[in-house]
Amino acid sequence: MTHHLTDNSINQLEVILERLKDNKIPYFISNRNGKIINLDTDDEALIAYCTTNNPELKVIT
Amino acid sequence: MGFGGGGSGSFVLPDHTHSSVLEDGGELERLVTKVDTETLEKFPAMQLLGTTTLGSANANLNITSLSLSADDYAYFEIVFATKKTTGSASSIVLQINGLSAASYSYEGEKNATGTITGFTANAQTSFLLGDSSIATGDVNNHIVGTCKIILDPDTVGSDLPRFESGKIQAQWTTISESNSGFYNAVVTTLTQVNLIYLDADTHPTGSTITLYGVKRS
Repeated sequence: MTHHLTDNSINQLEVILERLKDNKIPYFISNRNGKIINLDTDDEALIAYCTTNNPELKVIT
Repeated sequence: MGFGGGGSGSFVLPDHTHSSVLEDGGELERLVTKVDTETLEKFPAMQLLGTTTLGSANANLNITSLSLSADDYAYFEIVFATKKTTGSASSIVLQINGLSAASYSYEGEKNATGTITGFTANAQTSFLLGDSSIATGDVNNHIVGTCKIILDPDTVGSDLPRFESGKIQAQWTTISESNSGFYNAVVTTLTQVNLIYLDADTHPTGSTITLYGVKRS
């Protein structure tokens, strides 16, 4: 018997980005191999998600 | 009867007879209609709409004073060639109609020697053509690419202008990038296309941008 498996969990990043799009809040993200490597935003929820995704993200000026 | 051709070989024509009787080749498998010159001239075609070649370095590589209606053109396409000659690495971006409000959104990907980086951005002041690994500040990096601009696909007037960049690549790099996105307001007439660097660096002498349009009918 063939087993079909799928991941139906909520994509938390997608939820955050949809909210930002709806509210026209700026962000820029680049993602390599599943890891966020660049982030420009003022949104705290997005910053929290991205720094959890990649603890190596460092603030630059 | 044998005869020589243009080469060194020869061919022997089999025995045959000639006849003046016309033969009916049968019904055409598909309907065929005649197309006259007038129709051909109206057929959708890509038209050259404008071009700029910089005679001296300039922060703007643009074509201005346009008045091109989305009712007349299914889409536009720019072709460009420039360099990021001075300063540090930056991004090369597109703005249309002088619009610099934070209303550009896009997604895309960059392939750097086989490693894929994905982009997503919202409420930006321009549409990204190539990031800092394309516009590196190396005088040898000749940045070449294309970008489609689709103002209003169905002419109803409610669609957002869409951008689709071709694979932008800088010469001598192993990195290419392609993005697609929108400007978050209806635009029904194209008046200007402009390429700039985000760090306000200049395009060097000889940089070119050409605009084409595909007629609807």
